[in-house]
Amino acid sequence: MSLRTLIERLLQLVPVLLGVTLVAFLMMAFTPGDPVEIMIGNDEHVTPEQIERMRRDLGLHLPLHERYFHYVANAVTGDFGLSFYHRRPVSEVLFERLPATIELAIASLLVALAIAVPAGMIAAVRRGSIFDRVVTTISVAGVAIPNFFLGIVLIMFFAVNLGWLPVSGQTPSGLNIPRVTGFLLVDSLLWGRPDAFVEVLRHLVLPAVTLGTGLSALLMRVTRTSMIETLQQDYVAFAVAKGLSPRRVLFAHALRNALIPLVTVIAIDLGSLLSGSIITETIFSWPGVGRVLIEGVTTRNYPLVQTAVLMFAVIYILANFLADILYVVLNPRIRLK
Amino acid sequence: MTATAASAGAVPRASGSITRQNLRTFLSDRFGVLFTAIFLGFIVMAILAPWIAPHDPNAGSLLRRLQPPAWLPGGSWAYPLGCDSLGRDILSRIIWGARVSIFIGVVVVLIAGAIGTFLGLVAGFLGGIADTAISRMVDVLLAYPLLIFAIGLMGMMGPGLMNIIVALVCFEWVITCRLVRAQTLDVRNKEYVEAAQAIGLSPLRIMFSEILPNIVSAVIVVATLRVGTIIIIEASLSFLGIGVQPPTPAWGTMIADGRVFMLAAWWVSSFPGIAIFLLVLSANLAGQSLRDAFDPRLTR
Repeated sequence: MSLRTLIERLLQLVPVLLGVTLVAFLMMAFTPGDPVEIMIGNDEHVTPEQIERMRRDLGLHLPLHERYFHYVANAVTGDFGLSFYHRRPVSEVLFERLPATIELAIASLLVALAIAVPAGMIAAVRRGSIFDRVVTTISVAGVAIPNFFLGIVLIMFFAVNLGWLPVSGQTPSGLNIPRVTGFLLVDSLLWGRPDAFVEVLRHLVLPAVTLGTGLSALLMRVTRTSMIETLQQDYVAFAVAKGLSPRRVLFAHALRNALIPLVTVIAIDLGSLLSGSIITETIFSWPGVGRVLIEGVTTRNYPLVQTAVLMFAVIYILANFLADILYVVLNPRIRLK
Repeated sequence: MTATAASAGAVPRASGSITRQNLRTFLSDRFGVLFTAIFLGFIVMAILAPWIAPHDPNAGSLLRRLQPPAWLPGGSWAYPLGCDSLGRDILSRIIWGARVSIFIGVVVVLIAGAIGTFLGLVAGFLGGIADTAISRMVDVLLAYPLLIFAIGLMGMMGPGLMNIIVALVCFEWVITCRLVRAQTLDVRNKEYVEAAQAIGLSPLRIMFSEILPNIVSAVIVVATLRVGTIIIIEASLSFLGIGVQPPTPAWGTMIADGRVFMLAAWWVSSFPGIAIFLLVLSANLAGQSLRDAFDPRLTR
């Protein structure tokens, strides 16, 4: 891909990003009730002058379009206002929580791929077999299981009944890993604490499996379909005709090409990964962005909710952008055009 | 399912309208018919809730607190699926909960479908500024994952049944709109549309009496497939405590309520969980076999 197309694609992101901020802004602007009154709550010591000043500080006296302009101007500099509850900048609160969410998302994606790719591949190779039918059925049924229910069932079996894994949280109470990157798995290794690493990993297993299995349903189906198509290609027939071993044909020739569509599907599926992370974080008391978003909703912490929602949307947009590029990089046929 | 798709494809069809052949194809897919029947069963159960629910879904008694299902020691057939932490009959709450889930699923898909169809027709047929404006709106909303958009809106509007419907419709119309626009672009230059223009029919008339009937099957199919998604989203919102509010029985809330008692009384969360699973599965499979029968072009 030429630099020119890359820049063109990047520029195409601008209107979408602007639109997304507009939606987030309007969500808040049309909220019933006065933000200042909600901020103050039941504090009776606030004078009318102070209220007036807060209104001015928030720019609430300005017309809507000017408020939006200010909102975007501030957003560009990373200023999304103060979290009512934390009394700290919203961006600070959210960025602090982001590593936990990313760690969970990556782990879930790995779980999903570890289930989906082998299962989808075997189903494709043994098309029509019992294994294939089981995989197809699971991939249809898997989508219908709400992941909050799955999470609860997993907690009951593996944490409460069997006691193999912790019930919730990201670390055992008392374990303190000084923050470097915010990614606890990385930080525990940086501090040379393999014991802490194992503990963090143990806490990660159930949430990642909860989120990952739901995701694997769709990926399984895509891997299977894509593999079936790839196996019918001439170059696979040619590789077989050359006398290569079935294993080599499968792994060296077919698999790499069959996985290309998966990139796009993963990016699209990132929407359900992000949505699912909100629910999973709530069930497992995982200290990520999703959990703080729900806390924000229940405490009517509007700037926090607005920014968290925006943050998820921006991550989603950027991931899709990256997938577009990756798709072109992986697929020489498109690159040539 | 491949066989059914192929037989539908073999029939020469000039348009996406619904034919008797479609119906025959649909009925020959036994698996699909079975799940469609289950889905319809849920709908009947929801409609008849006041008459078939054995108890008042909100009448509790601490004497029956966490009473197990009938087949377990301590259970009774008067409360077949047991009782929750307030001694309310779980079966009755599931039957009433079906009302909430299906009502929201169907109403959202219908309203959003109507809005999306109209805007999609306008964008696809008229083009120009209308198309640009609508398409940009679609692009922007699609940049949000549905649940996150809904959580944001619910956070601003507050919980409640009406607000869920509003929040979900605000997003959901995009799905139909995108489909209808693409399909409209597809048929816009067909002879019958040109003929209608030539005899001077108004754009509105062409959109609704010439184009719409020819794309309606695709719209119905996609709408059916979306019902399951909407039901899961509603259940998620209710589970998170920002959806349907107590004491209205909703499956998501029931699962959340039973969570703390999972070890002592697994039935409180499990039965509503199974209900969601069955309903969504049957809605999805019914939608899929409808798609294979009525619009094989959409089969991926």
